[in-house]
Amino acid sequence: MGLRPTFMGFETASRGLTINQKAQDVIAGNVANLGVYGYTRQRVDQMSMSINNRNTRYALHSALAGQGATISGVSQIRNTFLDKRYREETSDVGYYDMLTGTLEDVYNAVDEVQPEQLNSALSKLRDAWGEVVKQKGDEVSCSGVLAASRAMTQVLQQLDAKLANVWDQQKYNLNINVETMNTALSQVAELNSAIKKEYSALDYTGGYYGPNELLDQRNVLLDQLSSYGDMRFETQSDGTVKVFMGGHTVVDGESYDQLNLQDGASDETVKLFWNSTGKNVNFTSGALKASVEMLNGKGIDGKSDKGETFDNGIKYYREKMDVLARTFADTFNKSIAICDPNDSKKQLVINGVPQYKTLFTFDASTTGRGAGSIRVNPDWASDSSYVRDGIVRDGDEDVSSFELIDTYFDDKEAKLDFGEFTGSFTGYVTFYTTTLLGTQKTDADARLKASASVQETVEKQILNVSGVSVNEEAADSMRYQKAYDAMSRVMTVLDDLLDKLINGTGRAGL
Amino acid sequence: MRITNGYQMLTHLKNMNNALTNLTNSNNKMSSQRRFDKAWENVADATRAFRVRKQLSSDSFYMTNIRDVQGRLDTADENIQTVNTILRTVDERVVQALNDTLAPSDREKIATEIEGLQKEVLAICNAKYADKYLFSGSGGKTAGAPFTTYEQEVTVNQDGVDVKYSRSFLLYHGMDVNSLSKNETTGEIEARQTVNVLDRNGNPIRAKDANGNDIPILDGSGDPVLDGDGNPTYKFVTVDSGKEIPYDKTNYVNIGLGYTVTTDANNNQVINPESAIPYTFSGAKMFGVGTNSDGVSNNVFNFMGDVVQALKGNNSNRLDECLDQIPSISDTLLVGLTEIGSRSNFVEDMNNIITTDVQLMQETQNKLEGIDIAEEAIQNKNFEMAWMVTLQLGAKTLPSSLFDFMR
Repeated sequence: MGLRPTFMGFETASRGLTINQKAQDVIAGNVANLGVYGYTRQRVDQMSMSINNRNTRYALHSALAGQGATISGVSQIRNTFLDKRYREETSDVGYYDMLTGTLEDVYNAVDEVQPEQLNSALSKLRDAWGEVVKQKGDEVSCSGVLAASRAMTQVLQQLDAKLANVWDQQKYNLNINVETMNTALSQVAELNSAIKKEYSALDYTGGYYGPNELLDQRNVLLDQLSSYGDMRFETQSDGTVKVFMGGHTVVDGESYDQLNLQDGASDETVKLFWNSTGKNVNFTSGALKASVEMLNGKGIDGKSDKGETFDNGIKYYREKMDVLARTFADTFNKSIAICDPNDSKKQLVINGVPQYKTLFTFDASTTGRGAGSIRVNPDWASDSSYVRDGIVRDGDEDVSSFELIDTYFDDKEAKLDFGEFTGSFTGYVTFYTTTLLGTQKTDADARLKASASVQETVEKQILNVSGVSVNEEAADSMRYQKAYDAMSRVMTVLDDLLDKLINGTGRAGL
Repeated sequence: MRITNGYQMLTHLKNMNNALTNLTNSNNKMSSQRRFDKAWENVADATRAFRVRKQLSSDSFYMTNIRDVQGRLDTADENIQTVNTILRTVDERVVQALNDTLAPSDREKIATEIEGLQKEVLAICNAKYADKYLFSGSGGKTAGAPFTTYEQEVTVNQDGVDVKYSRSFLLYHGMDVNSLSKNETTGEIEARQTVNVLDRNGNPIRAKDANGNDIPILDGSGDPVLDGDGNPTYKFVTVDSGKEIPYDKTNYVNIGLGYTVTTDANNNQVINPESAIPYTFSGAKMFGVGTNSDGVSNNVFNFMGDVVQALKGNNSNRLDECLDQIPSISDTLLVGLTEIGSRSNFVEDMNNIITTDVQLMQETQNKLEGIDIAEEAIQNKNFEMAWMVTLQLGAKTLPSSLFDFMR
């Protein structure tokens, strides 16, 4: 055996005391952070001390054994794989959540369950035309049908306004989300820079000891970011994290990119692009993807040169209302004939085309013919007897053209052509507002539930791995306390030994 | 497995939220009595529910029309029955008058009575339902009253003296009822008039005999009939012109038979008569047109005028002819009543069918849109209990930890 340093034991004992005190500090820190969101439990990594004795030629290791323990660092218990899974699920949840929320807004605008808007107006219009038939177009019934027609145009205008409002609100929402995301990106970069300065030696798992609280903050931000778009992250060797979203590098060390939201190629579309490249953002999931789909989606008629996409978004449903208004106007504008001024028994025919009275017009000051611009023809509005064609068949009391109008309202008989749909007005309304929209929402709801459920499972796993367990901390606390007690006793024994050696050895008879 | 406080809290919170959500939804359903408030909560049921709603709305539309038609049919029926009763009174009076023992003054009294009854008949012919003329065919407000009269002076022989008095003749929408006729095959009323054929200058063309000479008009004794200037009159070439009766179209209303559109003979779009119900009446058909071979009118009003004329002229032969005509006129009225009766039965049947349909639809609607109170109440109690249990358990398991037991 080689030489043993005299005061070696004291070092060991004092190191032991310090370590246990430190461990208690960390336990206190864990318990104090019990309610803090995103806190990962910390653990003192103790390792046994070994003095490298390769260089000594004569001393054997047994002389220097018993150096005690030391702290290699305070580490975080966190599983990167679980983090990755959690962020993937969060992207999906973000996507479906935004989708389902927007669809609900669209639905609320066109809800026909209660109260009935379009269906009620159509029913009243049918009754009014029925009265015109029975009363043979007298003044009262003509006023009635004018009022009911006007009410119908007003309902269409209201629906259009509501949907336009939904679009505006979603764009505002998107704006806020983009700003939040931009802020988060810059914060991640800042944290990267701060963490880089404090990163130190390798720990057991091959990761680095770093500033744990900053790491926690950064993780919270990354979780938040993943709900906006699909995200991939790579931890670098200097402690910074490189973040990719939508396939594009958004944070690299201390530099970061920003999102830009602008109006799109045509009215009521949006363009979301990266500041650095000017290229359009291409998320595969996340809330921002859903927002853009809902804002730009015009269904299968979407024109990409106008910035529109093929999704069934807000514009799609607004277009459906426009189609309803156009078909409604076109159908009624072909029902009352114009009397030939030269022959009161016949309909006016110009170039082989029979002429009909225009009952509904579209306001030229707004763009296009649609639900927002449909109006009762001013000529009709000023004179309710405009609906009488004046053609002398049996005098001017012929109501056969009025009789035909009821067929538009008959569910089985009506075969009005709406483009994608053929049937009656009410059939069309039910198909788009209830069946199509309802199915789209139910679908999104189901996917949201599924994703949220998986996200919850992963979240629970993370909590189980990284969360603070009070019982565990209590047990650890007891262990360290006992170890502390033991060390102080060891110190006392060593002190006694030395005392014996120094004060009691070599002096006989004292 | 390591259980942390975070995990416990998360699980507990999620469970609480679920229980509370279920309870709140159930409470909502109980208070609104609806199975779903938004269509996307149950798309299949909502779609079906809308179809049911549409059906109910259509049914209510049909019921309004049915009620209107029924009202018109009932009123028409009543009116024609009244005319029939009046006709029977006339029958009795004519029989009375044929009794030779009656003095001319008595016949005069009967004539006056029948003239009074004639005015009643005219009023009935112009009867209204809900401010619209019933027997006006397809005419409306502009057409005005379907039946009007014109006065003509007729001569009767009273004790060898020619007496003139003014008699009313009936017009249907301005056409002389006696000059109309009923087409036996189609049952439609037509106006057959004999009109002169005109040449290029608008002058009537004279008829020629076999030798190419003009044909003079002769009176009963073979003497030429002279016109106002003393010139002989000649026969003109005539032609039979069928003229359209005004307002003779049928108007239809939709009572749920499956309203369809078809094209008629003139390639116009019209309602298929088999898919709707007519609600107009042609007064000409109901009350008779034209005259019989004796020259007695087939129309009730004009017939009564014929009776009055016969009474005033003390013409027993004529009265006999009138008596013979009564069954024919009665038949016309009865045919009208039968048609009204059968239409009325049909409408009544449709009324029953639609009422049943409404009941069925309402039941279906209740099933689709309304909750089953008993079932929902039980569910509600379950959810409430689940909620209370979640709260209590949470309170029990969360707080304790090892720290509580350390000395």
